[in-house]
Amino acid sequence: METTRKKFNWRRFAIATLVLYIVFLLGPIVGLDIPVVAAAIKANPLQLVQFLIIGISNGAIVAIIALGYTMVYGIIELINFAHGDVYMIGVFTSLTVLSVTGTLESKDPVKIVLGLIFALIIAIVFCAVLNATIERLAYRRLRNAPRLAPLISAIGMSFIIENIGLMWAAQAWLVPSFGTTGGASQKVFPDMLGILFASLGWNINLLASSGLALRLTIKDLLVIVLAVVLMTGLYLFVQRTRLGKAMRATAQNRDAAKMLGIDIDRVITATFLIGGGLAGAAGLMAGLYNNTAWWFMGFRAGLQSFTAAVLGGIGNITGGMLGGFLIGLLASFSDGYLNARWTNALVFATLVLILLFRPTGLLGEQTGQKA
Amino acid sequence: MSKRFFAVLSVLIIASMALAACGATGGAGATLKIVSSLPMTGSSLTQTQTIVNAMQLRLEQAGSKACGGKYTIEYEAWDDASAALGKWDPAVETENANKAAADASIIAYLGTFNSGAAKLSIPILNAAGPLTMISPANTNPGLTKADKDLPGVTDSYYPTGVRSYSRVVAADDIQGKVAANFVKSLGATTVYILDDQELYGKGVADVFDATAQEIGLTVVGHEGIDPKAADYKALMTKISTSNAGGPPDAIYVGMVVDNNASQLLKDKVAIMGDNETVKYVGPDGIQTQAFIDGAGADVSAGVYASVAGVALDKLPPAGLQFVKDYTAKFGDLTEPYAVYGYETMNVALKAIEDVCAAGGDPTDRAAINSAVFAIKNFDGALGTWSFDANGDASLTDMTFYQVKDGKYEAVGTFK
Amino acid sequence: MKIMRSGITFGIVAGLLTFLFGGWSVAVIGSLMGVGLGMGLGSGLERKDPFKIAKDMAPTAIVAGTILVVLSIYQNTFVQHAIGKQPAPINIMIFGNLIGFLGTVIFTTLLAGLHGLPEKEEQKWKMILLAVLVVAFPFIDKLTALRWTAQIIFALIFVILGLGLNIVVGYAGLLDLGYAAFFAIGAYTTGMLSSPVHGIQINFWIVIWIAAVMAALWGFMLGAPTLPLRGDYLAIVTLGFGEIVPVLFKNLIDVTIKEPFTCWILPMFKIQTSCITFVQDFDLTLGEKGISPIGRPSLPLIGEFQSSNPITWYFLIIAIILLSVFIIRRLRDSRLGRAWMAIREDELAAAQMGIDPVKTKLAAFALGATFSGFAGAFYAAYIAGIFPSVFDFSASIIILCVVILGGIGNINGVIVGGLVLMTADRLFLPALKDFLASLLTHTILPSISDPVVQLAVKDNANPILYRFLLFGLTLVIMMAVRPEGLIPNAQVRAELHPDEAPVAVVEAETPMNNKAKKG
Repeated sequence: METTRKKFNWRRFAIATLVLYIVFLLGPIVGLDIPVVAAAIKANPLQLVQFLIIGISNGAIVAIIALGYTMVYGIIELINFAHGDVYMIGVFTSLTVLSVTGTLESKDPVKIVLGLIFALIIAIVFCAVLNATIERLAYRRLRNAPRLAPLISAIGMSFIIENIGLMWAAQAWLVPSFGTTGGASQKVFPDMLGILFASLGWNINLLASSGLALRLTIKDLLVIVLAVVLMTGLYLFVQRTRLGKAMRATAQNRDAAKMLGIDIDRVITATFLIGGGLAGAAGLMAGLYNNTAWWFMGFRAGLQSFTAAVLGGIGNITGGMLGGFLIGLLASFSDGYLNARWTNALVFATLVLILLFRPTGLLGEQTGQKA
Repeated sequence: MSKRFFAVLSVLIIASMALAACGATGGAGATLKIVSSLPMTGSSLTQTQTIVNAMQLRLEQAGSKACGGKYTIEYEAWDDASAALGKWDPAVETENANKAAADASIIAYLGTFNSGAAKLSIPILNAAGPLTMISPANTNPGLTKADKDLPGVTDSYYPTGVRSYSRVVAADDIQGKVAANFVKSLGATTVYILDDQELYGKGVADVFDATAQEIGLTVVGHEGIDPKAADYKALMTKISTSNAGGPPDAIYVGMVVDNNASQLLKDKVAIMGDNETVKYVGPDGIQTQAFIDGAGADVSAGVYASVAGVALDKLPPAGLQFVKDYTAKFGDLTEPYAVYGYETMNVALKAIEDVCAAGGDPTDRAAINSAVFAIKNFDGALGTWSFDANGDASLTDMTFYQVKDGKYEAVGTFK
Repeated sequence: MKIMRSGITFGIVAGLLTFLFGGWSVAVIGSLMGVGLGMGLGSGLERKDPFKIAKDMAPTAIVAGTILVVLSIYQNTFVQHAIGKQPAPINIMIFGNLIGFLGTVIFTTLLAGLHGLPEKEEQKWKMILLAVLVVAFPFIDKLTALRWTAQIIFALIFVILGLGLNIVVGYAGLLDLGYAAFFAIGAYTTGMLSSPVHGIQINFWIVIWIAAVMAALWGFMLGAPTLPLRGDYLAIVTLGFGEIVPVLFKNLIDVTIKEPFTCWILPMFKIQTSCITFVQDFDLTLGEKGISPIGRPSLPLIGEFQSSNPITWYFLIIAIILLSVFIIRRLRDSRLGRAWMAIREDELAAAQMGIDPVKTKLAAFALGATFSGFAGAFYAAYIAGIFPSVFDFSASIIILCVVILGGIGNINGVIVGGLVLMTADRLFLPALKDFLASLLTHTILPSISDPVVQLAVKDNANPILYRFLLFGLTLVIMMAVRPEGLIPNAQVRAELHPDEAPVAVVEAETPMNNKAKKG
């Protein structure tokens, strides 16, 4: 026994060498030119940290949207395609609130902070209600329909909400900065945090005084902190509260939960409310971070977040979070070291590869943690 | 069901038939039709709507009549986009071309907006008469001039051997070249090139790349971007140290506003600062108000964009009159392509008049097509110009605009 | 009375449709409505004497036809003026309406009457009638100058795609969100092998088979790694492939392949070698430049298929569909087909029964992809140009919608779903958009005096802006009304209405019961 275990595994070595050879041979086609990448890292190692920061910040937004996917999927096994678009509505809601309350024009730090908090609350509430309404209108009656019927309904809802966003972006009377060029073009989400810091006389780059060639802006910090706070809150909610326990019970076995006296409709509505609220929060964060409001932004964000949810193990809150960060990092490193035009393909290729080795996602086995 | 029921029904039907007889009028006199095929959706709508407006304006100025009132001219604005794709759709463009080919009263096809779409409709229209096609916006050189990488492909767009496609806008080979010279004149020595991987954006970026190397600019990098990404901070971070540890002097972006152009600029400014330190130059695809609206007036301040032709206020008298008439009817004009739309209609009407004047039959498509290609020293809204044998207008002026206070302002015209 | 009510509804809907198209459309719409009424309502009636059924249906048919004709004439007399268009000439109106009316009456009574025949006879005659209609359609379309054939061809491309996806999703129960990738592979195989851009121009009749084989091969290759995955993990991997493949076609424009030993590893140890380069900056797919032109099929007698003549293309795609339906039927009823359904219902149980899940699933992926290879080859040759953005995620989603909307697992359902969804997208929505736009500019806008309000109305009431909304609403409403699809698979229907199924069998003889279900 001992000898066979210690024996060098030639077959495995051969396969590994072959794979490595193929990566070196074909990698450059998709920008994965390892010598070039290695040289770039060697030339500027600090930049690696910079890409890490950018990746984590982007990943945080993806992660929060992913939580909404993963929760809904955990409970009713539906890929809620409209979820990414709820996030887009979150961006527009917060932008509109900021505009209507006059925060956009304000230079007063107190007013800006209050305006941002108010916008956060409104975006969360609005998106929560929107998400629950979508469930009530489009999915509830299909709960016993063939499995794919709600999926199509969700796709339809996604189209409808995208169109609402398109119309929203044309309403210059609501937000003057939308301009007169119609709803289809990208709109600017003013850099409120930059304005806030400028009004206080602080540098937006928190590492400016450190002398390192690194940027960790207040935007990065806010996005990461908010994401961690929201995730922890959600985790505690699902683990500790009565409703959270009801959710977990419903996710595990809906019929049994019903028999135990859990009001299934209420639990599902609560799930959609929470998911929508998270999307609303992500909307404001993304608006502040990327400074863009665009009717089409929900599509790609939704696709990436759903990928993140699956990558982490769908139905698993920690997994969704992990998947989000992973995708953000991947995209950042791909943009930075490989070739930007291949980034999207690489994200999905990684997903496929990971699922091949872990067919239920990174943390998919911990079924007990399902939300 | 009683007999009475049927009696009432038959009376109803007969009455309706009689009504139909009253409603239908006899056919109108000789009618010539001109159609345009442009994507009326998405961000392009901002530009295509002004093109359609301008075409309509020109026709109204002619009183929708030609040849001394002998012919009535009708204009229809067709859409080559589909809901499913949200932009121009090959299937829709093909069908538009076929529809035009089949309708004998159509004598000119104004379009397309996207060069890819033109590749599909040119052969169809060429085989139908040929039905002349005049584009206000296609800038891909390969549509008219042979591409050295793809021998024989340009000729294969014209199966009858007769050229039937013309355009009033300068092709990318001119735009890219002038832009490279312009960047050099700004004092830049190093440049990073980004493009959106599309026919237009990559085409103009490639020409820029080649010219830049010829005239001694250092091209630090040339990369395609993913037009749907949420942000480009990592990419911009990479660029910020790409020129021996520092940023390049200028960034040239070959892209259209639809492809996340505003986001790209925002992240560039976030990482590398304003557009004076690192110059930001693009083609006409970003010379639209939608680009500034998307990036914000402060972020986009200082961005340069080139557009074929001269600035709106430097247009010849006919062009100035157009701007005035347009503003009176449709409100402020900020989009650069409207005047090109106006000029295509101008060309079509001129060809009809020329055919009539020569005693020809303006319903004959081949005659109209030859008349278009025979246009020389034409006093149009864009200036005095001629078509060459390939169908390219002799307009090689390029005007550069810079964003100031949230608006594009002309800074100079180059050749 | 229930029948009469359906007749009135049909008549009104069909009449309103003529508002969008005008001219000869009333004749075609009337005939199609007749077919629909006859098939739909007829099958709800009791099997008895054909003539009696026909007689019973006649009043409904006449009412529906009358409503259609009245609305169509109203359209030509008043609506055409309102939207600023010339009314159709008198001869078109008289003959169009006459044909529309007669078409409604004749087809309704005829098809309903057929229901009085024994079932085998009924099926036979219905097939013959359907065949005649399918053959006659493009010619009628050409005569009436409606130009619907091109749109129908496009719908039929999606029917083939739907049929292929139905094997994967409907039979084997594997949710595939990236099916357009195989469509792209079929199209690009055709494009690269029959276009002057690479200097290879193989005959279409050969290329279409190469495209199918390539698609199947890729179906096999992409299917293989996904086998350990279940349910929605599979869906996301297929979605991933669906995202990767168009990016590949878009980006493979400067392919460089160098041998790593000679180019990198040996030089690292200061060993001088000449770097072996296999390919340098090769433009394989031409990216967004698109591959065009693409060779077209030609046949003796007909010559080369022309884009301007859709009839030849129409019959080509009908032939492909007939072939596909034939193959898919045989597959469905074969051992393999039963294995797919067993896997779909319970993979574990199926494996216990001796079905090899790996082989069965791979066969589903490969065979499903084959049909999209046909569709891709046809699309490439028909459009004569291919661009990567056509094959992105939204195409996959639309194909999936075709399958689910039509009736998952049901061949007829998928055909109807493809026709309905794509004609809605290609014919109905654009026509509705044009109609509303011209109605707006000719009626409402001039009556608004305030230029600011006028501009605001014009900007916001532009129907182009509501494309996605209309498409989305269609999907949501369809799913709310018929979650099982337009023509559901018998098994799905039984699952969905477990209490109804046996009752319906017992009481199938009473017409009331069946009608209630129809409503």
